[in-house]
Amino acid sequence: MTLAENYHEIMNRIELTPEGRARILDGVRQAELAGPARARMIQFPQWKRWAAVAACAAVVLLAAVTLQNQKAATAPNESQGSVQIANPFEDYDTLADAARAVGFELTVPERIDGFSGDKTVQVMSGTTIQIIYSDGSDNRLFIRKAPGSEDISGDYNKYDEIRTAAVNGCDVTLKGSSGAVSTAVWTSGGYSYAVSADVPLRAETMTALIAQIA
Amino acid sequence: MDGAVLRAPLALRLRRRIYMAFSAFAGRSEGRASGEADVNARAERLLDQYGNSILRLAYSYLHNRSDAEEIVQDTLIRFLQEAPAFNDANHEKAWCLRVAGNLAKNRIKYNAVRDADELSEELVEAQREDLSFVWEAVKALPVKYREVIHLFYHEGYSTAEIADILQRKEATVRSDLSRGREQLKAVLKEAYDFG
Repeated sequence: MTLAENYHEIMNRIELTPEGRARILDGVRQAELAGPARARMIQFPQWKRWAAVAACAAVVLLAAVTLQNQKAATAPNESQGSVQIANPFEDYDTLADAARAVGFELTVPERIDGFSGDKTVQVMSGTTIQIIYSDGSDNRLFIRKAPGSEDISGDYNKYDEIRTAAVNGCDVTLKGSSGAVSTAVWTSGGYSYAVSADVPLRAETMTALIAQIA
Repeated sequence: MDGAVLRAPLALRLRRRIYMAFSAFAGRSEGRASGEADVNARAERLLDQYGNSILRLAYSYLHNRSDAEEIVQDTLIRFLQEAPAFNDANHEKAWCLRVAGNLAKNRIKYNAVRDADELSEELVEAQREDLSFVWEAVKALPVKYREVIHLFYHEGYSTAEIADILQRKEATVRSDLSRGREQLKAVLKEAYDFG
């Protein structure tokens, strides 16, 4: 079974019903006839506005009291009925905090040229440290370290150019195209490392960066 | 004497004015009826061609049928108001999905989290734990990964086409697709082929 097949099967359950279709067409007609600027704009008399505000406040108050009373009774059953899945990535304030969580250190440059935006520190599934450098918009650079020797880059794309370069005595696999490198992976001291960038880096820039990672 | 020839009698002028007023009223009514028919025809064609695609994309963001239907409606209204020109049907569909995606993302920002995910309930009732697991895993993804996963796996778009729809760089889309797959892989383990 592939993810695509399962996801298709899930999504194919979402279909426009005849009732939904009629509601949508009716809404479109109303909005079109009202004109673009006045679409969906309904003017209420002043007294009705205040009445609505008062009614809302009463409902909120009643709901708060009811929820408070029911909270103790319903708490044990809250997890029933649906599958809850935790996000495998957990954010940390500092690299030191993340290192304590996984039990190993990671050395990375404090700053990387071209990535002056936020720096995010994460731990994935309790075993992998990930640092994300951002340029403040869509361009990000990822550095990862985890015990073992598997490819932890998470980059499943197929690249035209795959070659090996020696950096600090390690054989680093560089993947990319047109001479630029999108992803680099290597192992050292029982750990697997990966660097990947949304926008490919020059090979020299990538190897210079890798030389600062341990 | 000339004036009498040029100027019609009062009764005739009155009759003409009444006739013109009626004609104008009738013309407006006809125009309005024809406009309504045109709106209906165009809205129905869009619903036939892309309704389910727009609804599913909106649902993938909002996880609620009622909200998703409103996104379909608002997308159609935007289409009718802007009357954009397209090269072909693919271009038209991509425009609709882009607008629907933006409307849905705007709605996420101010929507309260809703409990009513009809799809989740349906899958639980059908005892399809396998599909429930996949759906909940996809739902747990950040929006930027989820939208790419939806367009890639359900709509079958290439990363270049997704970049065009979401107005992002293709490299970013490829990266987000990889990250999304990886997060799913971490949750779903090796039970799935992610190709």
